[in-house]
Amino acid sequence: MIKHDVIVLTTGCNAIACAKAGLLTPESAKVYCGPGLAEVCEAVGIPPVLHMGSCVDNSRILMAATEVVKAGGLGKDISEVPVAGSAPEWMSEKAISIGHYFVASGVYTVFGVTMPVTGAPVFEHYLYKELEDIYGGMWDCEPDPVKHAQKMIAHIDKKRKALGIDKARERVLFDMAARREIEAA
Amino acid sequence: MATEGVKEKAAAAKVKKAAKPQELTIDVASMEMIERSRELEVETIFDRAATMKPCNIGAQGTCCKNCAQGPCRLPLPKSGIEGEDTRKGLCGATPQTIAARNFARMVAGGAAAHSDHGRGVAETFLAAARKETEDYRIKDTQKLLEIAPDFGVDITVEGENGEVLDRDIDEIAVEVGERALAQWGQQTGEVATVKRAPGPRYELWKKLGVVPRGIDREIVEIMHRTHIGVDQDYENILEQCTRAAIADGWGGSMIATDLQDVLFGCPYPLKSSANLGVLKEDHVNLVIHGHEPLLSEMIVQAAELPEMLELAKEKGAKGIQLSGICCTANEILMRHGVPLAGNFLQQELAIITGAVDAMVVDVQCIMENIANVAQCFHTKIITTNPRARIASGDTVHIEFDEHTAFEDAKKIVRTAIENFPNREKEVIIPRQSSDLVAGFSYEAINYHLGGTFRASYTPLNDNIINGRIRGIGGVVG
Repeated sequence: MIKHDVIVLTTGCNAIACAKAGLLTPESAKVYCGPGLAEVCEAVGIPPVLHMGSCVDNSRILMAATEVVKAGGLGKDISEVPVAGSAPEWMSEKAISIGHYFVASGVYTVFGVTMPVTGAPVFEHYLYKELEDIYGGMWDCEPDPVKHAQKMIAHIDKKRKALGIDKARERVLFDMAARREIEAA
Repeated sequence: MATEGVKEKAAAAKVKKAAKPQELTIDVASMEMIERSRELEVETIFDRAATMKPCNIGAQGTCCKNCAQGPCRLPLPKSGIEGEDTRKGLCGATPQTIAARNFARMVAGGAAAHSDHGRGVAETFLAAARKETEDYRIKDTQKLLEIAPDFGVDITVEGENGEVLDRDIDEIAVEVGERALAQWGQQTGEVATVKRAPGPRYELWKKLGVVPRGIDREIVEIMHRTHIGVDQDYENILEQCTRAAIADGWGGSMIATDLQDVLFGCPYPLKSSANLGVLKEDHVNLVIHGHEPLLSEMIVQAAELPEMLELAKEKGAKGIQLSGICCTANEILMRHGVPLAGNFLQQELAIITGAVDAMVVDVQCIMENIANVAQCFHTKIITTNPRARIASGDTVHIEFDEHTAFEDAKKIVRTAIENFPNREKEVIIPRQSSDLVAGFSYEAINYHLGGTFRASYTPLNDNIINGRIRGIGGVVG
C-alpha cells in the first residue's frame, strides 16, 4: 500500500504487527514508500503508517474520514473519498462488527483469510456487490496479501476517477514572470 | 517391538505435522520462541493449529445450531450447484438465511464486546465526574468541552445580566457522563454521536431507517431476530446488523474513545518500541494484556511509586518493566509510551521467555491456554474482571473496582514483584524490538498537518488531490 503512495491508518493488533515490521517510524517512509507519500511524510515528519490506537479507537478512523470530507475537495460523503478498509488477519467477532460499520459508513472493506459466507452465494453476492448500491461501501474477501492490497488500490483509483483527480496534477514551478502573467489576467 | 514401531511412527508423524517456525511466522522473535516452546515441550497455538482442522460447514457459514431440531448442515458442494439451490434446514431456512443469521450473531458479539467496554468506561467516567472515586479525574477538559455539545450538554450559562459565562466544568462532566451512559439503555430516538457522521451519510441512514435507537437495544434485537423462526429474510437481517454495527462504531466504541481521552488525555505522538525484546531479564516484568485502559492506567501509576521500586530492588530486580499485549497495550502505549511486548499470537510466547513475573488480564482475546503455559513457568496469571475468569491452570483473581482502582493496581504490581525471585527456568528473551512512533489521534493528525493556528486536514486533502498521496487505507484487526 505505502509503496503505491497510500497512507495507512491502523489500530489494534495490526498496528502492533506494523510496529514490529518497523513501519511506524518516520524514517521508514524513505525506505518503503512511493515518492509522493515519502515526500509528504518527510515534510510533515510522520510515519507512513499512523497508529491510531486500540480497536475501539477505530472510531478515530471514522472521525478522520469525516474530517477529510469536511476539509473539502474529496466529495461530500465518506463513500466518495479515495479510501479503502482492510482486516488482513481478522479472527474475532469484533472484526466483523468493525467491518460492517466501515461498510455502512461507505467504505469498501476487504477481509483476509476467510469469510464465513461462502456456503451461501446469494448472501455473499449481497454483501460483496449489492451493498454498494445501498451504502456506497461493500464487503470483499481476499486471502492473498498482494491481491488484497491491489483490490484496495483499484478501489481507491476508482474513487479518484469519479472525483476527476485520476490524472495527477503536473507540478509547475511559478517564477516571477508567470506570477505577473496570472496577476495581469 | 511392535509397540515400539507404532510409537516411532507416532513420533515421526508428530514431527512431520509440526511445521517449522519459519513457516508459521515472519517474525524472528516469534520463531525463536516457538523453537524454545518445542524444546521445553510446552504446547502453543502454533502446535494446535497443525492438528485442528476447521469445520468445513462452519467455515462456509451454513451450519445452523440455533435450535435443537438440527444442527442443520448445508454445505455447498465442491462442484457448486447447478440449477435451483434447494438446500434447506428442517424449518426451511435457506443457506442465505442461515449465513445471514450467523453473520448477524457475530456482529452482535463484536458490537457487545466493544460497547460493554464503552459502558464500563462511561460508568467510571461518571464516578469520576461525581467525585465518588479519588483515583480518576477529568484530565482533558478541552476534549470534554468539544464533545459536550454532541450529547446536548451546554458548556455555557447565562449570567445575571444576560452575559454568556463558562459553565462549571464538573457540572458539564456529570451531565456528559449521564447522557453518555444513557445511550446504552435508550429505547427510542437516536444514539447521539451518530450525528457526527458527514451530513449526507447521516441523511442516508435516516432514509434507510438504520439510525440506531439505543446501543443495547440493537444488539438484543439481533439475538431475537436470529432465534428460530423469526427473521427469515437475509436482507432484513442485514439491516439490523447495520443498526447494531453503527451503534458500535459511531456509538459504543466512539463514546469509549471520547471518554477515555477525557479521563486519561488525548494521545499525541510519542516514541516507544515493540516486540518480545522489550522484556528485561534483570527487571520485574509485568505484562498487561487485554483491552481496557481503566485498570492499566492505574497499573502504570502504581508501578512508578517509589515504594514499588524499593520492593523490586529488595527482591533483587533492577526495576519494573511494564509492557503490553493486545489493545490494552495500545491504550497505554498511546498515552504513556509503555512498550508493546507483542500482539495476540505472542501471548503464550511471552510467557515462554521465562521472564514474565505476572501477566494481568482484563477482557477479550485472552487465550485460555496462557493459564496452562504459565503453569510450566513461575508466571502468575492475574484475572481482574468479573466478566472474564479462567478455569484452566492456576490463576489468581484480583478483582478490579473503579472505586478502589489504585489499591487494586498496587496489589497487582506487588504480586508481580514478589514473584520475581521464583523464576525457575532459564530466561531466554529474543533480542528483537523495533522503534516506533504512535499516538496519532485524529486531533493529533489535525495538529501535525496544520500546526496550532491552522490545524486542519486540508494539507492531506491537497496532497490526495495533487496525487502525491493516492488515497487512505484503514487497516485493522
